[in-house]
Amino acid sequence: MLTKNEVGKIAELAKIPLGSEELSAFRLQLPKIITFVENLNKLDTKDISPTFQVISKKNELREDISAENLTRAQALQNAKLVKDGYIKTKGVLDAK
Amino acid sequence: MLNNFITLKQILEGYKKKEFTSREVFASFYDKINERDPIIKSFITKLSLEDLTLNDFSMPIAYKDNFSTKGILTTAGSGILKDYIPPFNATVVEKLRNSGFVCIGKLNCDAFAHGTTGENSDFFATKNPYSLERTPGGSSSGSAAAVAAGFVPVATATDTGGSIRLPASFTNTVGIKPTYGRVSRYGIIAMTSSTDSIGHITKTVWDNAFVLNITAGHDPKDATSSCDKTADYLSDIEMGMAGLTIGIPKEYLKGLSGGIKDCFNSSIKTLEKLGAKLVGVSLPHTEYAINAYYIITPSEISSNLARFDGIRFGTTRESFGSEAKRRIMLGTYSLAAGYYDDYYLKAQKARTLVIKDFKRVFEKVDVLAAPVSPGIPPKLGEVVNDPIKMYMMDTLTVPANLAGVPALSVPAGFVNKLPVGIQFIGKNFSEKLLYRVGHAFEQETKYRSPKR
Amino acid sequence: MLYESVIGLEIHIQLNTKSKMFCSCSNDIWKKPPNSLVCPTCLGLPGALPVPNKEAIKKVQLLGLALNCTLNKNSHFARKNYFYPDLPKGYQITQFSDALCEKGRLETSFGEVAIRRIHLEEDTGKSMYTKDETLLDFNKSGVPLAELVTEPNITSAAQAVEFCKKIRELARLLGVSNADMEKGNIRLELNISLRKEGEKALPNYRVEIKNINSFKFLKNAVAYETKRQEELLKAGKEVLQETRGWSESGKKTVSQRKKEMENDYRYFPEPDIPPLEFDEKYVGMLKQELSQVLFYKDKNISEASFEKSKITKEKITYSMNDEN
Repeated sequence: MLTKNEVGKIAELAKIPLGSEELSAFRLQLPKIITFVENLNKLDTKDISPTFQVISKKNELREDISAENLTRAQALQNAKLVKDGYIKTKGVLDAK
Repeated sequence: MLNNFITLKQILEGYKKKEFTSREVFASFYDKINERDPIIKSFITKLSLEDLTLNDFSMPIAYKDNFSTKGILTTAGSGILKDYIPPFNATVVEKLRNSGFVCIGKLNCDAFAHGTTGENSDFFATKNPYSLERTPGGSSSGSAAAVAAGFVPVATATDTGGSIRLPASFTNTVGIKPTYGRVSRYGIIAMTSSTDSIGHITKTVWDNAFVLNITAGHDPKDATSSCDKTADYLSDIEMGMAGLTIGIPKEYLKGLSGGIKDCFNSSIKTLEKLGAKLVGVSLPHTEYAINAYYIITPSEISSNLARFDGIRFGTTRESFGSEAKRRIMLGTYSLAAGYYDDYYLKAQKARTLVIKDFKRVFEKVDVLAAPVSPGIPPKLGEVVNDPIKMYMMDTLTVPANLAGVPALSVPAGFVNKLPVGIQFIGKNFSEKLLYRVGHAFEQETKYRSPKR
Repeated sequence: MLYESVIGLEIHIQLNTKSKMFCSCSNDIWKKPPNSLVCPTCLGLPGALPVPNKEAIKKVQLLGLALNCTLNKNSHFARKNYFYPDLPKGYQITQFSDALCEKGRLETSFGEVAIRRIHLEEDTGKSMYTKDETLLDFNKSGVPLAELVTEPNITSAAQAVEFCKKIRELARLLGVSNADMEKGNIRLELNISLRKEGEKALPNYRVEIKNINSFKFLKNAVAYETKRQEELLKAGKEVLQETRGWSESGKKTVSQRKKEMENDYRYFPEPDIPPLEFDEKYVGMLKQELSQVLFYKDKNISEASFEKSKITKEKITYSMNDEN
C-alpha cells in the first residue's frame, strides 16, 4: 500500500502539483492499479530479453548538414513571457 | 442534394464527372456540421468555410487534435494546450495537404490520447451519433463521431492501445491501426513513443486504403519510421478472401458480452461463406498484454509529458487532467530506482512474449479475426470514474500495439442498435492483405446504415 | 596524519559539427541572437522527434580511439529525466549503459590516467539569472557533447590540469572540437575526496565541484577543496557528500543545492531512436583516419602518445603553457 508520503514523493519527482483531495484520491487509486499490473508477476520472464522497440532497424542517422528552421518569432510565439528575444521564467527555485 | 455519407471514392468520381464542385461538397459537409455538431460535439476547432482555399479536386479532412497543424490551435484535448499554436505541420498533415486534402477542423479526443471513451477530454465529451447517451469510444472520440455523423469523409487519428479501432467499432466506421513505423509520428503529440501508430477513420474500407496510400512511407524526421517499401493498398482490394487462412485466437473470445459473441459468430459464418478457411489458434500471453501495456504506457508518458512546463508553450502542470496526472505518477513510479526491474523491464520482457505469440501464429495463418471490444459502447459516465474498468476496454486491442502489428476494424453488425466491429490483424506491413479481407467482408455485409 | 587526494574528472566537450546533435539546426551558436537557431526538436515542442547526427558519433569514436578506448559494437541512447527550465523536453538524451567508448587511458608526466568512458549527449539551453527572473536562450539546446569521465585515479591538481590540457589539444588536433574554454566548448567538473596516505580503498564520499571555467580555477579549486576537506577530517568531522561550485570572486568552493545528488533520473532506453551497431569495417575506417591525423602508421595505436607523435608545429595552435 503506497503511503501518503510515497505518493507525495512521486508527485514531487514528477512535478505534479497535487491538492490534498487529489493526494488522498491517488493514495487509494494508485495501489489498485499497481496491483492490477502486478498480474505480470505470474509470468516467468527469467530468460527473456526485453523488447524496447518493435522496429528491427539500426543506425538511423542523419548527415551533418545544417538547415534553417524556425524564425525567432515562431520560436517565441507560444511562450507566455518573453524579453529581448529570450524566453522568461520566474526564478529557478520557484519551480514547484 | 449531396448525401453526407458520401465517400471519398464517390467525391472523386463526382469531381471527374463534374456532378458537383468542391465548394458544393464542402458546403454540404459544413451544413451538416452546423446542424448536428452542437449536439455530437466532435470538433474542438472549426475553420470557417470562407477561409478555405479550394481547388477543383479538394477533399475535406479533419485532424485529431494531437496532430500539429501549423497556425491552427492544437490542444491534444488538454487544457494545458488551450492556447497552443504549432509553428509547424506534422509530416502526415503535410502529405495530406499536398495530396489535395483541406483541413476543416480539429477533432476532440481524450486529453493526450489517454482514454477509451473520450470522456477524459478537458473540454467536453463527444457523443456517439448512434446513441447520444453513449460514448463513441476513445481516445479518437471526435474522429470516429465526425465520420459516423457525416461531418467529414475521413478523420485522422492515433492508435496507441486501441484508440482508433475501439471508437471505429463503436461508431460503425472503418479504422486502421497501421504497422508501427508505417506512418510518420513526426508532429503527432507523443503518448507512448514505442506504440503510437498513426492512422485514420473512414466510412469504407476503400476510402481507408486510399488514404493510407498517401500517409504511409519513410520520414527522415522520424527515426522510427520504416524504410520498408510501401505498397499500393488498393491494388488487391477486390481479390476477395477465397483461399486465405484466417485464425481465430481463442483468448480473444473470453469475457465477451452475449451480444458481442453472437455478432462475432455471425461474422465467422460470413468469413466462411466468402471462402476463407478458419482455424482456431492460441496467443497464450494475451492476458498479460494489458498489464504490460499499463506499465509501458505510463512510463513513456511520464517522460513525454515532462516537456509541458509552461515555459516555452502551454500552461503550467496544474492544468493536467486527472488521467494524465494518474499516468504520469504511475510511470514515474515504474521507472524509479528500485522499481525499474520489476515494472518497466518486466513489462518489456512480457512484450517479447506477446511478439513471439504473433510471429508463431502468422506462420500458420494469413490473418487473424477477432472482436474489437468485449462489450458495447458504454454510457457516458459509466466507466470514466473507474480507471481499471476503463483500461480493461483495451484488452483485445493492446496486444497488436505491443507487437507493432497492423489491425483494421470494420463494421460487423449491431447489438441493440449499437455498432459492433470486427478486427483483422496481420503481420508487419500486411495492410494490403487486411484491406483485401476487410473490403470483402464489408461488401458482403454492408453494415452501413446512415444515422441521423 | 597525511592525506592524499582522490580526483576524478568529467569533461564536457562541445563537438564542432555543422548541425546539432538531434536536429539540423546550425551548431554555430557563438554570439548569435537568442532563440534564433532553434527548431521544434531542440525547442522541445510537442510532437518533435530526434534524429542522431552521424558525424557527432564519429567524432566521439575518433576521440575514444585516440585515447585507447574500446569502441562498443552495440550502443544506444537513453533518457535522463529531470526538470530544469533550460532542459526543454524535461529529459536529456544521453547514454547510460553501452556508451560509445569505454576503458581508455592517457599518459601524463605524473602517471597514467584511466578513462572510464566517453559518451555522447545533447547540451541544454542557456540560462541567465537575474534577481527575480531567468532568461532562457535555446540556441545551445541540442548542441552535441562528448562527456569524458575518468576513473578517480588523478592524484594532484597539476596532474588534473595536465590531463585536461592534453585532452583539449587532442580534441583540436583531431578536429572534433574547437575546445575553447572561453566559449564554453570545453567544461570541467571534478570529483574530489581524500583518504589517508597509502590507503587503497576509495573514500566513502565524494564532493562534486562545478563551474570551473579555466585551468587556473581548476588548480585553485583543487587546492582550496583539498585544504577544506583536510581540515574537516583532521578535526574528526565527516565531509558532506555534496555538489559545490567554484566561486572565483570568493576564491572558494560554495555549497550548492544538496538535492541535485539525490535526483532519481529514471534512465530508460530512448524509444524514439533505434540502437546503433558498428561493424569491423567501420571501426577499421576510423582507425585509418586516426592514424593519418597522428602520422602514425603503426596499427597498434595504443602506443601512440601525444608527445611522441610527429606533430608539426602548425598543427598545434595553442601552446601547452596556455593558462586558459
